[in-house]
Amino acid sequence: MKPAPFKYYAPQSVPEVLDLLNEYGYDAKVLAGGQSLVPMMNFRLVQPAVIVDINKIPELSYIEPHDKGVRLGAMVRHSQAEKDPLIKEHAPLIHETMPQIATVQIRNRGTIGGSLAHADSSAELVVVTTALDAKFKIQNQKGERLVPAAEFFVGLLTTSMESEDLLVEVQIPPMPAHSGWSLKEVARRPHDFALMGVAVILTLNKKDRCTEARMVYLSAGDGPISAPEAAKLLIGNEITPELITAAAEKAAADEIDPGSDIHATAEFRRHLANVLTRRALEEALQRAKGGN
Amino acid sequence: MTYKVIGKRVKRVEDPRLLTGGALFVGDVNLPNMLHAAFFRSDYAHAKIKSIDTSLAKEIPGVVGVYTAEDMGEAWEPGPPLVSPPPTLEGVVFNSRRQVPLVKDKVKHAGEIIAVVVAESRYIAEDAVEEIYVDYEPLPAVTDLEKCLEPGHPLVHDDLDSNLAAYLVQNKGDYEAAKKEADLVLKRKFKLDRGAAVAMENRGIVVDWDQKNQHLMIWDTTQSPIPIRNGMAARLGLRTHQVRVVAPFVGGGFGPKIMMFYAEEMVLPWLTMKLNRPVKWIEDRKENFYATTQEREQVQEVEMALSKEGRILGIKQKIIHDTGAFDPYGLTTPLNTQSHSMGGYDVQNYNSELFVVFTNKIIVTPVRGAGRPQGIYVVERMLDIASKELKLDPRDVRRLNFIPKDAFPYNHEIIDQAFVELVLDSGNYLPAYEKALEKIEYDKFVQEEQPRLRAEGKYVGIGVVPFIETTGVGPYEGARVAVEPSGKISAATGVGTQGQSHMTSFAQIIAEELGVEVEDVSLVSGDTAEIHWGTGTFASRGAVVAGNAVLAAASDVRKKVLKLASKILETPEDELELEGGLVRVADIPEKSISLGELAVLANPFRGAVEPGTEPGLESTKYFGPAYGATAFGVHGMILEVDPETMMIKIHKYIAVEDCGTMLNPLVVEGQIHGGVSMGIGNAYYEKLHYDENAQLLNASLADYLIPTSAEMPHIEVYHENTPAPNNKLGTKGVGEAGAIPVPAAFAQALENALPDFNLEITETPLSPNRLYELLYKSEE
Amino acid sequence: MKVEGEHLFSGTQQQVWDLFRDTEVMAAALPGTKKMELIGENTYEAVMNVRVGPVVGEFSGQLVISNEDHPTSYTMTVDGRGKPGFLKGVGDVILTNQGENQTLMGYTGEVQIGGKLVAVGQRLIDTVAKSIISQAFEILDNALAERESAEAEGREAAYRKSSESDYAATVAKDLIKNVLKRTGSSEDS
Ligand SMILES: Cc1cc2nc3c(=O)[nH]c(=O)nc-3n(C[C@H](O)[C@H](O)[C@H](O)COP(=O)(O)OP(=O)(O)OC[C@H]3O[C@@H](n4cnc5c(N)ncnc54)[C@H](O)[C@@H]3O)c2cc1C
Repeated sequence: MKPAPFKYYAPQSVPEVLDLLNEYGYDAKVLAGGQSLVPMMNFRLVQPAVIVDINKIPELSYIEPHDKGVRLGAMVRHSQAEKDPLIKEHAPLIHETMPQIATVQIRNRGTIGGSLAHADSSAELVVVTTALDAKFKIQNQKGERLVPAAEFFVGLLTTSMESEDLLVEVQIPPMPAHSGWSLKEVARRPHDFALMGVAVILTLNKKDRCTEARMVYLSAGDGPISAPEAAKLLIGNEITPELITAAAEKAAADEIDPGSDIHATAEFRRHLANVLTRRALEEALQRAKGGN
Repeated sequence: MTYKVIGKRVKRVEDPRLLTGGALFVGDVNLPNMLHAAFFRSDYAHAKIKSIDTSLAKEIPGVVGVYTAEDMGEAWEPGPPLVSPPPTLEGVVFNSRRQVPLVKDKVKHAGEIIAVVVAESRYIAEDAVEEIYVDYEPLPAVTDLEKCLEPGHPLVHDDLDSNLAAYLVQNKGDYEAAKKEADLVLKRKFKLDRGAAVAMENRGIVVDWDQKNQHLMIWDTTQSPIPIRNGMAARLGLRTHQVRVVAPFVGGGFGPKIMMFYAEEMVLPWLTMKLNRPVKWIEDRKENFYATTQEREQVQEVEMALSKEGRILGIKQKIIHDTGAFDPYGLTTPLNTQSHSMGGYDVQNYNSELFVVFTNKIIVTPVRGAGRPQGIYVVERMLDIASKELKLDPRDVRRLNFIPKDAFPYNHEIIDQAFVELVLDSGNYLPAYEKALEKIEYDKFVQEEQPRLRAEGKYVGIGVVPFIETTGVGPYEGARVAVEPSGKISAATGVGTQGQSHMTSFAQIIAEELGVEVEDVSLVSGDTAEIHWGTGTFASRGAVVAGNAVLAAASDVRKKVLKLASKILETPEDELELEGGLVRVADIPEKSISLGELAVLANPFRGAVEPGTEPGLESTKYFGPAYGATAFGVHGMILEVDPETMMIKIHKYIAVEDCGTMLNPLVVEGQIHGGVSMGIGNAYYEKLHYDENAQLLNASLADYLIPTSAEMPHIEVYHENTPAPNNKLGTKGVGEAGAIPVPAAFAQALENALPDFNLEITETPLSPNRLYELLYKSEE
Repeated sequence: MKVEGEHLFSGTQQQVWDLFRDTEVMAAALPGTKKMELIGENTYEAVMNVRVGPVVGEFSGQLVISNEDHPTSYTMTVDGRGKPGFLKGVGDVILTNQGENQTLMGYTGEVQIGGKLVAVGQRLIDTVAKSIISQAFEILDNALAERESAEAEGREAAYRKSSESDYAATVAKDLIKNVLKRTGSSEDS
């Protein structure tokens, strides 16, 4: 379990990274926390000719307020985000998500940017940033662009970034007033990739009618899977237990497309999606009513 | 017997070194000029090799050589049988087929080695492995235990006319007659799946050939250094004194490290001698899944005849046991299953038909528990199901059937893993069982807690399961104990150490005998230069067999000490005592001599050693029991299940164990904790998934789920003590005990938690996905 | 692993049939195809560089078409190997006419996968398979449309050959670009 030979660079600044990515293109891989990349290299499933280690660039590790939400540099470690008061206050869904990712040891190394760039369809952050409509700041030698989550994740382990692109920042907008949120998941062991999971954000108006509903699933297809049809059942209505049941059933039966593996069949995953959606909607509803 | 040191909660003397990185593991052995090996393993489980092309691999700079079976020539030879074949009883079939160093013509399981690369670094060696190309003709794989014996089924070994590795029937009494008397005859089929041992340290071996000394040095992660030395010498045509095997600290054995010889162990010494350079190989985690032995896969059909009061009248059983592609370890594991299928119960009629089958899966040899968990699982499950059918309290059914205290030694009248009659030497089962029920507060739970939690919508259940463990089998083990001129004690035994705390508990025995501090004893385990004879660490036998050998050697040294001291202090031996490293006169403590001084006097520079005596205060003694010592235990758990998500949490876990005399309760409890964690794995998390092509689908710790500390409940351990009558210390083994009853207790608790679901569990492990199917898919 | 499903093409049975027998089109549709050649009757030799996100593996092997019943059904056998493992599959394809210019393709098959691909990539295999299939259909649909319009315009159909190493990425990006074009919400530079 040794990786194939590769060239190693540890640049000290973002422009240097961009130069290297530009020079080596698809032959290069950015190394962030290494928690996904290094195992794949050791299994020789990934054999990059060049590694561009971005751990020596301190300016990518910030967490700052941004437009009533927060923005996080790509190299923010999971554990840093987990403990950050700004995130707790302005992005409570992210705050609640962090401890559900992997183990303490992995969270100490793994980075927000790495998790998002890796775009694993089972990764919590992928799903949560989609639900929150986060924006991704991407740089390359030519310039910078801001991409919404819906356009960032494009397929299995695939984002809309090109080989010369570097993800530098993710911006988490605030949730509208009277919103409630929830992330529910089932994993064999708490630190495993979840068999199924759903992030829910519900927004109510003053009369407790639902104005906005988002349900985004992990391990349910080749990326973060949204359930707009199920959401439609809720929007415009006062949310009742019957509606919750109907929405959960709709999403689980028609909108997700989970695969089967040794841990769970697609059928069991749909069952879990149904159960978790119901529980997540109940929790989100309660929080929305609580005025969060 | 009251002891001063034995039985005390002495902290492990090996821990400071282990915890500060100061202990030697095979991976730490780095020699000048050393080469590294990496293996090309077959992706296919069953395939003919048409050709092998190693030319590209050989061209890589830093590669010293690439070798295949052909290159081994005369040195190519399968591994030896590890245990003797079963006795040639009427009707017994045993086809011995053993693993080979490098595959010649047909691959029999995924991961079998086809070629080896030797290079200046492991990185280069692995680069070269990627460049080897083998042309295969894939063959249909043998995986299904029940179908593989059908005529016309593909064959693992083409020279046999079926996939039958062994066949044997064991019988006691007359089951068919008993069945006629029965009020209830239950029949169930059980499926027990495969798991891995997953020692924290994988296997590894470093070999160095000293041309001038004509001496071969081997560091090996083996549980059995002495047999490895003996076998290696024989394979290489060397004398045993030309080979030294050291099993230094080993990060977990759990059984698979007794296997000998693994292909890698056959290839590396050959390479070392051929190249005249040291060669190192450390197994990586992926290789460990493909190359290190596994266990537990069986299909069983079990019939139990009972009276309406719940008395077991007889058990009939058919076991199909998967041995994987080879059967180097003979019948040890399935015989253990038979030995435990009657549990600790007084069963007069037993008939068990055993089929051992070859499949294209990784080789099966014992893994902690070694066939016993499967036996306990079926008998305990059958009793649970019978209790439901007969509307009896499952506790009463067990109480009724336990072998009574006065029936020991109890002859089960079948043969055990050592081919001797299965005699349970001693036991007192009922009190231990009652103690477990009391500690887990069974009555309170079912009368108060459970109804209260149910009213809150929580599904919580209880399971309490007793079990026996045959331990401490022969043939023998030895120990050498010597007083050094410094007064400190050196000792050695042949049982390698993989976490069993030998350096502490054996030191306690010596400290007890010789009146020294535990810290003053330095024990070497697993170095063939230190002791010549021995077998190894397995079958929960260290404390019994090696422990009593240590006691015998220490007692003999004590005798020598007393004899010499009596002469010097001019005091009769029975007035002397050993205390604080001194021998002193009991009522005149100032009149004493230190052990160190005695050791010097016992090895004089002048004069003659008297006839009939030996120099030094040293002794080597052996212990070989006629039959084993049977331990007993009861485990109980309270668990909660969410019948919507199938997630399970264990809230309470208690274990009552009776391993006779405890050398060190801390160590005993540690063994139970470790065993329970493996048992929880076997019950709920750990399954090796093979597909219908015998491809292993989860050869990594991302998908093979072992319980981590986060999944472990707090475990309360309680002790009972029924000393073993056939050894001086009265010890019984406990190394495997913890793992044995857990799947059975888990199944009982889960059924108990879900009374409305009509759930009947007859398989282990039970994943959430499988539980979902059982609960919601009634056609199953 | 079982693979089954169906896909509705806009084209006649004959057009779809031809599409599947056109090595150039197939090479474009199958992941990272480096080479696809007819080497004997109904036997193709292919080299593919499969890429799923950062995971790349080169496979080479053969594809054999048998049991042809023109233009409604055939059997496809693939046998490929690469450093990450091997793959062997047999599948039946049935084309049914679904009215004017609509053809339903149904497929059922059994794929054996071995080696480190399944041993360590288990979690993703099913999703990878689904995703490769759906992307392939996407391309075939485009190819079919391109053929039709080329025919109408009396020019030669042009296929975009998938690049050697970045199949998944390119396909996915093409898709997203199309989406972006449609919604007009691109902030792309
Ligand atoms: C045992 C285990 C369990 C895990 N469980 C979970 C879990 O339950 N949930 C979960 O979400 N995750 C889980 N993870 C993954 C973990 O969260 C990682 O942190 C995450 O996958 C990748 O982050 P990283 O910083 O380690 O990225 P790396 O491994 O360094 O990189 C991952 C990929 O992203 C690319 N990349 C990294 N940074 C950038 C950047 N700034 N711009 C462009 N490309 C970039 C790399 O080139 C690489 O392709 C688990 C990991 C392990 C080992």
